[in-house]
Amino acid sequence: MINISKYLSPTGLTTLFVSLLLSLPVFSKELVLVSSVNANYEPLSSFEVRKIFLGYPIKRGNASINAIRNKIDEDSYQIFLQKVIHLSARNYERRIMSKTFRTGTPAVGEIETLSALKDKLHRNEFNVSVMWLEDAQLDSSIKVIQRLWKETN
Amino acid sequence: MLAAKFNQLLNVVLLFLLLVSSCLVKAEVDFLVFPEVKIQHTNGSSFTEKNITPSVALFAAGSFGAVNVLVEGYAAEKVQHLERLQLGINVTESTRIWFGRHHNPYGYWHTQYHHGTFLQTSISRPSIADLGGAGGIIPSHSTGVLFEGELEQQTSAWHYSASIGYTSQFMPAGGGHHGGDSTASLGDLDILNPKIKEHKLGYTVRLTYLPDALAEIKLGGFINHGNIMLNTSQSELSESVHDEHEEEHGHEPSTKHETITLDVFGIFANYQHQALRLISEAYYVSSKVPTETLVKKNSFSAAYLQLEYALDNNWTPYIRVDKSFSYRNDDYLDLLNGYPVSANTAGIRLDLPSNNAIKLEYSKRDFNHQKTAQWLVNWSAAW
Repeated sequence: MINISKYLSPTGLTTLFVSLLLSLPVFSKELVLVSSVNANYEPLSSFEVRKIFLGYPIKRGNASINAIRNKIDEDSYQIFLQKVIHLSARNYERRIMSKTFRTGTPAVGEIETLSALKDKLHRNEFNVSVMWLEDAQLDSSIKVIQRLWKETN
Repeated sequence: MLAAKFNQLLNVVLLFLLLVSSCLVKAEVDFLVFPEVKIQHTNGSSFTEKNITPSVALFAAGSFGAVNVLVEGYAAEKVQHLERLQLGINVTESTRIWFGRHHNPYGYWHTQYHHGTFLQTSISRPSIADLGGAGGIIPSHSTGVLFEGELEQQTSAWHYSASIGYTSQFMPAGGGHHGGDSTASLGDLDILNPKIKEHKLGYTVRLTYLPDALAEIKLGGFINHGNIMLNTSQSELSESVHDEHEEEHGHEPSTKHETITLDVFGIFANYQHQALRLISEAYYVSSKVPTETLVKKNSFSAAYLQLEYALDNNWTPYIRVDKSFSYRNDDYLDLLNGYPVSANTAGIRLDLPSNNAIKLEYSKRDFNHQKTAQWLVNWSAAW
């Protein structure tokens, strides 16, 4: 067994360790819009993404795209509210509820488990939701439609 | 007594569930429940259990393809009503036509908030937007046809709605759909027990502009025309109106004595920027009120401004100023004695987890012949 400390001083060891850390690739969080892998439609504009998540209809072809709120992970939901919807959780929930109560139009659905979310996405290729890129990449049946937000270091 | 009240409440809930389940058995349905407890105290009056009023609004809506169904029930201790019962069709992706009993689409407050007071910041409603059954001056519901839609222009939008249907009946002893004790009110057509002969047709057209289709800033206007039938005991009131104002100008020979003609024009705005929110509306109300021999023409205007400021995610203080103009000797307002011609209101709302809110409100109100100060405490929720 090689004893590195024989060849490097404590300062040299620290320098080597820091250099190794800096040379590692940096993984930053990315929030993406996802659908079933069978989906085949053009990405949505940021206005359209806000629109469907506020409960307004958007069509691709002859079908309406249905938004599903991913409330599995609190961090991703908060980023989604801040960076995509631009509303606080309280105001967002109240707007969705108020719109349904006033107009009778369907509320934007919400999901609290990953299996239920995958099931919803697989059941209808026009269902879309939001999740971390790293979670989406773990499941080959999920397709990333577009990036919504990326963490800046 | 308590058992009878409970049975009435239960009947409404069961009827609501029956309607919902029979209409929406195969549809994806959104359900909402809005419970509320309001505690009211007017300075100078004794406080009894009658000042505590629990109520609940039950809502369900769903679609079978292009066909939509909407049901809303309201139950309080004294009244249980089917507030809305609508069957609709999506004419296009952005236009819908509804049949049944619906909210009369006038103004901002009235279209934004109705029952389900959890959704509105304040406890009370502005005077001009008060519900007809609670002493308000404009019919709250119409039973007939409602057409509504949206037109988008890039990121801005126009919303429009037009309603025609049976409007309210004037009830001098109160007892409208909010069960007023003594205040005269406007009673809407009961869709489960319709007495068509006691109601006449009215219409409302409303147009709203949204500079950002997805934001809450709204500007708009509306026109409302309606004929409000007086019920049989109204003749006594008509006589007194005639005696008081016999010498006034603006009279027409009266051939029919049973109908008030009401025309309302209004503009409204809702502005929001970060924590600040402003809501304002101004109405011009013109009426023709029959007496024994004449039809008296009247007009007045009224406006309010509500200012809200969210201190954080929990606390939202608010103030509101209600004001009426040229209302002296208005025969229509003389009939609706529950309308405050001016009011100054201040309150605070505390939002709690799981869609619960507690509100405290104080208002000074002028009822033309009487001034009162009122405290309100309210718990409301949405489930």
